[in-house]
Amino acid sequence: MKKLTAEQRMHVRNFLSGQGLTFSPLLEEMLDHVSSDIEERMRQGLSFDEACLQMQNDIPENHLQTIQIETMETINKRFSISRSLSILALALMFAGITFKILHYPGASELLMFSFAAMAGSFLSGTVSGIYFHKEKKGAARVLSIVAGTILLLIGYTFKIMHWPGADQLVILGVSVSFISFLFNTLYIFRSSTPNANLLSYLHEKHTPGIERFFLVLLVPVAVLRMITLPLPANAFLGVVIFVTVIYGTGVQFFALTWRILERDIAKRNVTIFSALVLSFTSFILVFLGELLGIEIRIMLIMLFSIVTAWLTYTIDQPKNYFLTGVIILVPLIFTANALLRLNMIPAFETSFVFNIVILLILTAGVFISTKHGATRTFLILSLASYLVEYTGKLI
Amino acid sequence: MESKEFIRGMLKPLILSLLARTKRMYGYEITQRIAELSKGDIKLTYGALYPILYKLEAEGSLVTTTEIVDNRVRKYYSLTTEGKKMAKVKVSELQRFTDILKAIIEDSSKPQLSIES
Repeated sequence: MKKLTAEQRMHVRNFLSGQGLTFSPLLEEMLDHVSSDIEERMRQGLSFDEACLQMQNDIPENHLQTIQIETMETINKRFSISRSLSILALALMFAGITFKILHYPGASELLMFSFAAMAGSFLSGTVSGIYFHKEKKGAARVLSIVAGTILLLIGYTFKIMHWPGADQLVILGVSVSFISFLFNTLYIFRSSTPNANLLSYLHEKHTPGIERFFLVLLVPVAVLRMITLPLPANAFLGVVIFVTVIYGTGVQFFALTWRILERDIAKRNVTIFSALVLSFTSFILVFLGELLGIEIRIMLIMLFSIVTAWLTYTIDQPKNYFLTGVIILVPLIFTANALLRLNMIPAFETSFVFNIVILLILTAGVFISTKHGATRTFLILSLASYLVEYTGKLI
Repeated sequence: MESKEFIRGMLKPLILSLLARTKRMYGYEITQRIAELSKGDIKLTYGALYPILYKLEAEGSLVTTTEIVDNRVRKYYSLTTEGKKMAKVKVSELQRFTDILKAIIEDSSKPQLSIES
């Protein structure tokens, strides 16, 4: 029986990707379908090249892309409650920020409802996912991530509303998130196979929506922040949206990393495991906010940027010099920022760290890294953090 | 067979009935089986098949399992309990519909006894 060689399989995969197939479950399925088709033609006496050419001629132009769009639309319909809530969350968030800028009453309440809608969207997407995929493993691990996130959202809502108990809720949220990250990481390193893991499955299906959500949230605020850079920073504006984007993209980054590791057993080694644990530990601790001293938080951010940049490069391996350069730039920025904030280098050096050129390089990195999920997520997270840390000078 | 639109509308019951007979099938296998059973008259394109499979999965009629076969990920589809019920309904609907069509076509092909003449 004629079977495709690894090289021939790669050729088919490249052809499918080149046709615009990006949704990985569909890509894998099409790869199997097309490969079976080619093998059948080879069995009838054709060479691989001839069979491949026949197959390519049988597929009309843009056909695969159309299938992908139709398939995505079909899947997305199921998550309509989740999607409506996420749109509501975005609308409420922007309304809240606008009210705050215009000093209208009710801004905090709008933000509170936005967080509630975000929590609802996350929860409904997950619960329906669990319900429809009872055969897959790991409902508890998925729910632990949702629980950690929702507790943090509630904790931060309490903070915004100045209600008592906010600190306790934030500590609880951070603890639950930490445990959920640890359990998911251990699971991936010990026993996971891609197809049985509910988290990977749901995450993969939701990834386009999640990315869109954070970009829609980040882009207008980032543009507004860039325009107002010479003005004194509006702390409120920066904090709420940027912190939401930072948390969300952070979790997104870990989920993407888990998925990459799940598919590539060679990358499941002690060094990557340690880096990942260090990365999410330093990441989640920052969300304790004022409960930790500012110096400790700055050191944690520095540590996170160094470890995560290395992790991003190692797991994503972008074969692009510019992107590699941007990944290296990120820990340099946050190390320099830490040294500045800790008065270890003179304050006038600020202009070397915070300037339009670096900002534009980071922004360009986000836009050109569309094919590298982990890199892109890391850069979105870094861009949001950079805008929060920006000291308010143009040059 | 020429009328692609015609086939498209019947694809859902066809896939469901195939899966009701065979426990689990993968995409390519479905296209091959349909081609075989229709003696080559119905050739499914990717565009017709996959959106329907994903839709049926999203609706909870199908459940998928994956296996690594020849170093490729192969996704198998099988009917859920709900899917089995749906298969019965859809197949009997299709059966009824073809009976009606047959009746109409047979009737209209009979020599007409014109009242006017």
